[in-house]
Amino acid sequence: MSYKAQITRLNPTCILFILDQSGSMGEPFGGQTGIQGSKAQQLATAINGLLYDLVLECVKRPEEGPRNYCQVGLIGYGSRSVNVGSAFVGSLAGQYLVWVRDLANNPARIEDRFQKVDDGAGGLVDFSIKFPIWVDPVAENGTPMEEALHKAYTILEPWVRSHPHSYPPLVIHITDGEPNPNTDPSKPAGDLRKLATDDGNVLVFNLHLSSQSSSPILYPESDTGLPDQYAKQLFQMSSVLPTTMQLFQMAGGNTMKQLAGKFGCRIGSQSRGFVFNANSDSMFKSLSLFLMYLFYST
Amino acid sequence: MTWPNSADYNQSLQHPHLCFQDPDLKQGKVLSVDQWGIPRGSAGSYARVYEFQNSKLQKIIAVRCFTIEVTDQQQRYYLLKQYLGQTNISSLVEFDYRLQGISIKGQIYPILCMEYVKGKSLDSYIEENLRNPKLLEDLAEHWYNVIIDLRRARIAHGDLQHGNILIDRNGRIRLVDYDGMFTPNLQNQKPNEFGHLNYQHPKRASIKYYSEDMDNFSALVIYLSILALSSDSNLWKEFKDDENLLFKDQDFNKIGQTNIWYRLKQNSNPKVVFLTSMLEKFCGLSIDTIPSLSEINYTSNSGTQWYNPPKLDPSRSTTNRNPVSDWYKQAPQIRQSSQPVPDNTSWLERVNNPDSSVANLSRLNSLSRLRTKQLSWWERVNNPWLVGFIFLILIILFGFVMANSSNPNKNSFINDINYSTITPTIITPIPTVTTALKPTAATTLVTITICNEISTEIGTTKEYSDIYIDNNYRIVFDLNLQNTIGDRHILYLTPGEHNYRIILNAINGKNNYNKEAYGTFLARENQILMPYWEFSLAPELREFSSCN
Repeated sequence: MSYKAQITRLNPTCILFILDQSGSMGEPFGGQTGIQGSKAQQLATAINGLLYDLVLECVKRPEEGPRNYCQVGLIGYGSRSVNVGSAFVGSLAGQYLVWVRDLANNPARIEDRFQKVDDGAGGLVDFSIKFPIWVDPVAENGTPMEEALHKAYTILEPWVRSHPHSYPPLVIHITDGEPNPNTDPSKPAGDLRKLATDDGNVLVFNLHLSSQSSSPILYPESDTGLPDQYAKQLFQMSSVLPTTMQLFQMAGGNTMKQLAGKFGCRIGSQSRGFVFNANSDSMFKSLSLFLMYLFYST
Repeated sequence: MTWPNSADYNQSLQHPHLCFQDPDLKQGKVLSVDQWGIPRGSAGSYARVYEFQNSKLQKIIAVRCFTIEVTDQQQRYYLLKQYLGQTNISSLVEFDYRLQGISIKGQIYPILCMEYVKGKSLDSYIEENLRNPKLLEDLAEHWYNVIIDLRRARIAHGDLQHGNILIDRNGRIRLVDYDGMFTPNLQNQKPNEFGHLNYQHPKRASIKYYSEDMDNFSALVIYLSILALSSDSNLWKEFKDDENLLFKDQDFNKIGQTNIWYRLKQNSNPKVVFLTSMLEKFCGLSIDTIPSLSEINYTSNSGTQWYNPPKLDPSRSTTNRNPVSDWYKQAPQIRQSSQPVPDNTSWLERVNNPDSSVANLSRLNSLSRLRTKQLSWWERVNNPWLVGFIFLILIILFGFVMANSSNPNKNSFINDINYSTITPTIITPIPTVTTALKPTAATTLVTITICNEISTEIGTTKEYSDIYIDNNYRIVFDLNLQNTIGDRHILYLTPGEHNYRIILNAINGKNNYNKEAYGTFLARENQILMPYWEFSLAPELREFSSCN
């Protein structure tokens, strides 16, 4: 189990996001006022940005567009209309896995967003940038986490069978809370982690978003210090970060481990792909950190 | 600080007049855009490159925006430009490094403006011309000449691969991406990239090889691939994966065993067969002994002139093994004194006449060392007991000096050995380990594991042949680093002192011996963990070491 397969068009990988879209996601992040928007809004911005990063990283020659180095999936759970289903909006709505090329060609819309930029003369100017949208913020209903993870299993089980030599799929689950009562998400999470290609098992990373202002716990090595059973459960559901991932030397000489250090956290040999109590800043950083490894290995 | 990523550049480049610092560029526009007009650069591991219309100069240029901080980048490009300015290599493009290049979120980052090459990448070009064997043959010869020009000018590209080799509209080969380039005035500026795995010698990245002959392997891979395709275009369908031509990194690791080797040896062109056998040999040779294309002589009518590589005995007996302390001689630092390869002597001649006054001393040294095995001082001494004793004294002395030396570079003795040797401190006798080191019926398993301070296993021996005892009662073993990407050893050390724990584990029959030792060694800049380690046996163990 090595996690060192080269990611190519003939040997692509898969990244599957599972997004909590339950009612509590409508609250703001811990310690922040409502100005920056709800957790659901910031999550949507992070995911849209990340999907766009992914598209751009797959472009080798601009004239040919992005290359199909991976398939991308979005599962949302909690939303009133679908309960558990595809989180894509627009023309990709209803699809679970799409190729990067299709992703690039089918955003739901392109929004103009405003950014403050240095005008070069000591001032700041607002300028608009085009920002593609694939997922909208949703915050409705309960938290059918178990069902969502089971859905992921049914998607990835055939995937690993048809891609036996690929870099194993990466599942990134982002939630802010407790699963519905009398459900056990650790069972399908365990099933997911058991799926494997000959390059390694499916990696399950969990990112917990917080409404409290306590500081985040990043990539812990054990569940001691985690406040409650839900946190411990999420920890147990997360894969240990593969050593190749931790020590993979990215261009520029930094390993992911060192890079994580620059983001202010320590990665140890038993560190799991788990972040607890993430605020919006650590959400953005850890999401991009997870994907950075894949980007650089393509 | 992390550097801007693709999305940051793409957002800023939507407004060139705000992000660029240079007035020329402020007026231009990005030509590489998607269907919504959003900039879309090509992604490499170090940079994004955008096609850009400089409206003032009415010229299209390529703007390279960096996503990773490259050490000494400004100085590198300055020195590179200075050197290339004195040469006239038609395959290279013009460039201009601008430190105050682009503003991203209030920070200024450098950019590299380059001559824009309208053309196809090598693999697309080959694919389009698979049915034109003559054109491919010409392309191979063109490639040969490009390489000769570079070698003559003492320039090495460092990352020769399909994406960095463009064929322009006039059919000329142009090379791009000079982040890892070698020129003589850059020999002390080792970059942090070592080329595409599917093109490089299997040891290139692990020893961070950077030298003017570093392209020799990849140049041959490309030359051989094009030539083979000119006589057998079916190879393309069979072996072209995504990021390669015909070979992939696993072919260089499983020398001669994968399908491509077999297929190329069936090629109708005898030159392809010959070059395949050459490449096969080079995979197993030390990287600094690989000859350049012009040095591999092949004459079809007067019979094949075979290249005879130095013999490396796979049984790894001591007499054929380079002692660890010789390893440093292969380190690039030593090669700084190397002179340009003279064109009047063929590489073959130089190999056969190691005493001839050829300037490339370091290569000759390494070759003759491999070939004739110059005996080290301790090997000339016949009394192993004496040698063992002296060795131990040296070890103690060495440890003492290490512990007391704040600047090890001052001491030439330290310089010679400490970076490649882990100081031996086997704490307690482990007699059966020594007998178990060689495979015997009673032995079921021997492993040696190296862990770092936080007990993360960073490497372990895998087979008996990885471990042996030499004449000097040292256990010598090759460490198979586990954390590898392909064959790229990825444990690179930061300069300074490192503490390492060695675990010896032997299962001999029912007995399980598990001993630990602690060692300290120093790493200096650009020096990596050697995949080759040694430590000595405690004196009490010696009588056991030869008992089988």
